[in-house]
Amino acid sequence: MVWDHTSFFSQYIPFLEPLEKYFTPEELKDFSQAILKSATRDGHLWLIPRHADISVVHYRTDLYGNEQYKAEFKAKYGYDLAPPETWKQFFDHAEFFTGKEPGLLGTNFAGKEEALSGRFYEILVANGGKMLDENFKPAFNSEAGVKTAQFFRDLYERKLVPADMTSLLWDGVANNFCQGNIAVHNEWFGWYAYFQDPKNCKVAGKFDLIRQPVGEGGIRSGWAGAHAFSIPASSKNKEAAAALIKFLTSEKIMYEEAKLGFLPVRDSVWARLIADAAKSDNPLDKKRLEIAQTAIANDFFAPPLIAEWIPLTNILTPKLQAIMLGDIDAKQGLDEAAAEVEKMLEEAGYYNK
Amino acid sequence: MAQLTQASALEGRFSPARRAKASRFVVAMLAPSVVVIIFVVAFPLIYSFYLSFTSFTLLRPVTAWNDFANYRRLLQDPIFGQAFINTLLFMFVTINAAFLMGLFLSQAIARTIRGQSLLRTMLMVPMMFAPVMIGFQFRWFFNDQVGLVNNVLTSLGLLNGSIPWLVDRWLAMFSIGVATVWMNTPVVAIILLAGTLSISPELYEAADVDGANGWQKFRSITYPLLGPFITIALTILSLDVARGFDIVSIMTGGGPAHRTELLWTYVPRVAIQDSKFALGAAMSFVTVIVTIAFTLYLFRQLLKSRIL
Repeated sequence: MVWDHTSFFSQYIPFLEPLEKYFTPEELKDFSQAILKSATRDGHLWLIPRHADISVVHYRTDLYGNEQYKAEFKAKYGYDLAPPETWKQFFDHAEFFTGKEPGLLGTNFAGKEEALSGRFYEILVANGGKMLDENFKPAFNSEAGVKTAQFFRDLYERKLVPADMTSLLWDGVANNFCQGNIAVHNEWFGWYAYFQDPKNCKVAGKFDLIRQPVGEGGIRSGWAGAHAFSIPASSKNKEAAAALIKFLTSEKIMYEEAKLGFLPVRDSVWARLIADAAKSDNPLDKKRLEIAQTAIANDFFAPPLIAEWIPLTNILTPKLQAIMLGDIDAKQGLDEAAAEVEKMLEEAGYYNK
Repeated sequence: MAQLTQASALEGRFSPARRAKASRFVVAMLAPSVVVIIFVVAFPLIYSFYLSFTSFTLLRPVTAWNDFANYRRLLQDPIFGQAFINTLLFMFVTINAAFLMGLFLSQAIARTIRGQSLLRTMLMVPMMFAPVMIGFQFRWFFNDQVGLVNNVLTSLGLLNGSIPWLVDRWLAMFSIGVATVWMNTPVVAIILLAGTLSISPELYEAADVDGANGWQKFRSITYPLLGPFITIALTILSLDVARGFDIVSIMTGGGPAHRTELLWTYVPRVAIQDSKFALGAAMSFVTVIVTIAFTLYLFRQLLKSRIL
């Protein structure tokens, strides 16, 4: 048995055992169907999920609730200041809050490696774009793609994000939010316990969550991933491996793990967790789980199920950075990245089937 | 009689039979290490050279021969070219800077009369840290929001706002260079200090009698006699700088937008992350060949200047 992931399992498929013969539809019924869909390729199920995570917007209630800011915002932008429902509003908010308090920046995104490509990808999808078309040809240099890349460039050029954002990864952006330097922020659910701990974070008790904003394509997209288990094709006792996976992803174990902070992937566990959270003093504990459940059911999407996802991001991310830093125009940068991705996928044999 | 016995004993010791036995013993003793070297060094080297002419990738591990395709491709790859030039420039600057600072420190400490052992111990401090830790430390120093450097500059009133040290191309290279020099200077200083202390004081006394000044003594006595130590220090320094993958990976990872790409960040990305093992191998071989050429040139120049 191996530990696997929805974003990365495609590269291991030649070495994995299809799982549908070990798990009955009855056994799989309780699992989140959106995740199982992302765990299926070429008609086979390759993963049994253990826990999941998905993007969610974190915003500072002390800033959004400030009456003076509300009035100033309304006067400047012509609509009420409320948690962002669209990416356009998200941008306005970032612009508005930057510099409102000493050291305060509008937002930040993880700005390097796979993380930046992933963040680009989810807003690209929200804007109605696609990473690859149905023939695996790069499609991210579309109009929606240029708009999305320009979104990141504008954030950077107008200094609404940290100047060193291109060197920040998950821990860096989470830390900036935790220290109270960020007004509104796209983040994973997994950081919740850390943010709510007043010993670690200045924002403890001062933030709320809202489901991912809608893009110009009218889509609410949540980049997501699930840690999961697979069985290697070389496994000598596949039945035993399947039995172990069944135990580790059982309702009992998943509930115990979810109590420690993991987001579960079984409907039954969701129900128990939400019922538990309803007893908490902090109403956000329950609201968080409800948003997560809704988001996982409706907005969950994994990266393209290709083995070359990481090599693809190794082409795309530096180009996105160059676009943000102003080294290259958004359209030209995406076109160049698309040409390189196409060449890579061509060499990998995607187009001669 | 006694001589005769000795002679025959000697003859016996070096008789062909004994010699063959002795050489069999030598072979037997060396064999394990030769086998290890063949498996750990020679075989991987030859195999990766072979791979560099194939289309092998980790995702599609098929070794189809494709001539010089990988080599042609890397020559056309602008990022490889940029990483190559960055690496040469980076090595040139950091090796020189670390060498000169090490030389200066060694001379300063050699002339220190009180507290020399304390200074020597303090000099060792950077060598006690893992390079990864140094990378993290300097990444924090040069962080534009909470970093030490920007904070110090701001408190001194020299800076209004913040300098994005790890984003701008030259500043980022400079920051990585500072960390590398900080890490590597002590080795040079300690080797050269040992060399300086081993020079006979009589030479300096004779020079004093001749009325030589400090610079003349350094130029005519210390520097030439340090020659072998300088060779050792430069060799170790070049190897250490060329192994500096940790620092650059942690501080910038070769980014943003390939701005601080060095061969040490680019080749592993191509070979491991992008799974293009064959292309990565080709890049490594080009790098090794150029490194050997560079080393030969360096040593020839050192010989010419009679340091060696």
